[in-house]
Amino acid sequence: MLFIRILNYLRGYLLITVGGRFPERFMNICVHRGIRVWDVSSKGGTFKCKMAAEDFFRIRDIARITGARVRIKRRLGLMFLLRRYRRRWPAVIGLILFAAILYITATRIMSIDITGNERVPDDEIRRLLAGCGVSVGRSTADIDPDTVRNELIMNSDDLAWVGVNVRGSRVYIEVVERLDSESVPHITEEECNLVASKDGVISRLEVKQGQTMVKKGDGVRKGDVLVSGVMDSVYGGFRLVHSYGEVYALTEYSAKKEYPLTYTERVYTGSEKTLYGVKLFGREFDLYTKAMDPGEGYEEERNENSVTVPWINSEFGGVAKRFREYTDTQTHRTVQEALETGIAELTEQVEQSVPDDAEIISKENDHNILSGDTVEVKVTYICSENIAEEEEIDKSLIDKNENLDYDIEEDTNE
Amino acid sequence: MADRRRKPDSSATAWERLADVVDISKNVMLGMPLVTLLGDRELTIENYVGIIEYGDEVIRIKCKAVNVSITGKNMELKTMTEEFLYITGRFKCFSYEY
Repeated sequence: MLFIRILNYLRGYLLITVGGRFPERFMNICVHRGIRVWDVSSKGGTFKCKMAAEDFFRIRDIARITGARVRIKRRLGLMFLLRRYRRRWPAVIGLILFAAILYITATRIMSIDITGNERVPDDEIRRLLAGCGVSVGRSTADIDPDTVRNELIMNSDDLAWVGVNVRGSRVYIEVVERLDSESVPHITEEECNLVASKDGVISRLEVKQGQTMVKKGDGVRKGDVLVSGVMDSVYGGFRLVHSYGEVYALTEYSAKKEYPLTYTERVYTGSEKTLYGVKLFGREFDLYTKAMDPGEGYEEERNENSVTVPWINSEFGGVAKRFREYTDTQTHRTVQEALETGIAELTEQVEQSVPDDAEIISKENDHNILSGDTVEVKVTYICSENIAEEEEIDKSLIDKNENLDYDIEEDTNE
Repeated sequence: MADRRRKPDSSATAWERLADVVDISKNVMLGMPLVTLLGDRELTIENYVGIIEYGDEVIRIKCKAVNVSITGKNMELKTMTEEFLYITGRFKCFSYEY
């Protein structure tokens, strides 16, 4: 029934009233002539019924014969609806336009989202994507994620993994970049261990390849193996790898010195004298008579210019001696003053020894008074730094008879 | 073809007996209406000839052998085709007229 009603709606039908003396006769003749009439209701001798619009012209005869008065009450159905809206054609164009825009926006790529890239610029990836048919405005149906992914990985050296997801009209590209090989220092392409370059206490491990031999909190000496390039295999045996990574350790830099409380301070008086001499056949002749005696209030500074004559194997030259007068005075200082001097001196000394890439964690000053008139000052810096250093594996130590599972390694990499 | 109408008290007519013998459906052979009643609400009549009277309280239908008269309330002819009539409403009485 529903199907018939839909069909009637599409073809259009009329609601008519039939009056007159014998509307029943009208109905009978309609039915006999194959004119479909339905939903007949009667009210005070007048019938109300529905009939197909196309049949209306055929009832003229019947109405005349039976003397029925037929009136159209309403025109129903899609046909009449469209006719009513015939003047509103811009609305139809709008409807078509709406459908077209909906279709285009739903089937074309509207945007491309790229995530996960740090080194490779978005534009570069967009260019690569355009090369395999993925760009804004292209049809989403043409995208084959597997092909796009393979193309991208093959055409770019910096992409290790690419995920292509098409959700509606948006394309999401997730990339994982290859490890930056420049950032990993390689002294050798061979298999190697990582050993400690300094003494320290392990604070952080970032091992990217290799078998870790130490753990956080371990104390290591210079030369200890931190990450071994000899990896045990679950299949038995071992394999050699180029281990790399970063091993951070707390390292200590310190300087220590004793400072006496009573000390001699040398003060130059400013009076000085330069005297000259000559050197002949390896012997020195002073060109002055009254020599200043060095050591007793004078400091001698020799400046000699001489050449050795090869064939007689003797030295010839001139000597300039500079004498500077000074006075030594015994000075006394307090513990506090000695400390300040010591800390300032030693801090400078320690800071020079700390490498540039080390991060200073803490600074410590320590002192103790020795035998009443001497202060021992110690300045210590605790630093955090990467102590990993590559060292080639001594292959002579490896027993050649033991099975190296190179074949199995290929399997496990898949 | 003889008058297929028969008196209500008479026994089976010759046509009826023939229909039994050749096994043809009687409503076609004898011009009998095939009436399907669903309670007091729906009525389908097949093999009818025409409508004699139609109102919302009385409907009389002409069939070949007998006439059918239905009285009730709010009756409506939902479908009219050459083969059948489909009437809805609240029926009170269903009777045959000769």
